[in-house]
Amino acid sequence: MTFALIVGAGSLGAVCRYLVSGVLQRSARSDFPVGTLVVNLTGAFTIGIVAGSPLFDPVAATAVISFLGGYTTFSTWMIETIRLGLPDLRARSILNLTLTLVLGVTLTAAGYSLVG
Amino acid sequence: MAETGFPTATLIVNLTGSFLLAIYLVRREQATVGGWSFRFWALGLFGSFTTFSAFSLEVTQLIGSGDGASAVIYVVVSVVGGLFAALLAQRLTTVMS
Repeated sequence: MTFALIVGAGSLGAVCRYLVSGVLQRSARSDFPVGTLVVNLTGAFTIGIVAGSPLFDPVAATAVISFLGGYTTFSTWMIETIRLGLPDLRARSILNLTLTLVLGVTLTAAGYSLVG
Repeated sequence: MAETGFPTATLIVNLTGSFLLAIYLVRREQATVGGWSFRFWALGLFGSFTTFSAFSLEVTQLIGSGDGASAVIYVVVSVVGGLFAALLAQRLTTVMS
């Protein structure tokens, strides 16, 4: 039951990431990976809310956290950071790393304290 | 934020996921892998195997529990390790094919 819930919610999260990041990236008209950035930041904010709120029972929390596991991505963030740095644009790589990292952790903490 | 301790599980998942995604992307550039295969493996499986949300929560929890040193180590090992894993996978895949 728990396994099925994780698979279902995680897959749904992956489909949502595909749709959201795809639409954002196309409308951004830039090769800066804004799609992945927005997906990871909104996911970071949401997981802070789930972790901080007493409203989520264990099943609901498992469902949302599995969804966010599929919705957010670490590997794509790494690959896009490497690609941004090629051939010689290190500044944009570092910008992608720091923006995601600093804003992500800040938003998680903000979500947590918002409901906690 | 009751959970403490170093988040090794997420770290391993994120590093292996970065490694596997990089291999797949190089293979895709070399050969023609169909659009649906790309969506399944790269966007779906390797993308959702790794997670940024849990990583961000764990960093926040480590900072919140007063363990700033572990938070810094976790971030550095994840990011440097993830970049290294992806670059290593790219290099190995390019050399071996």
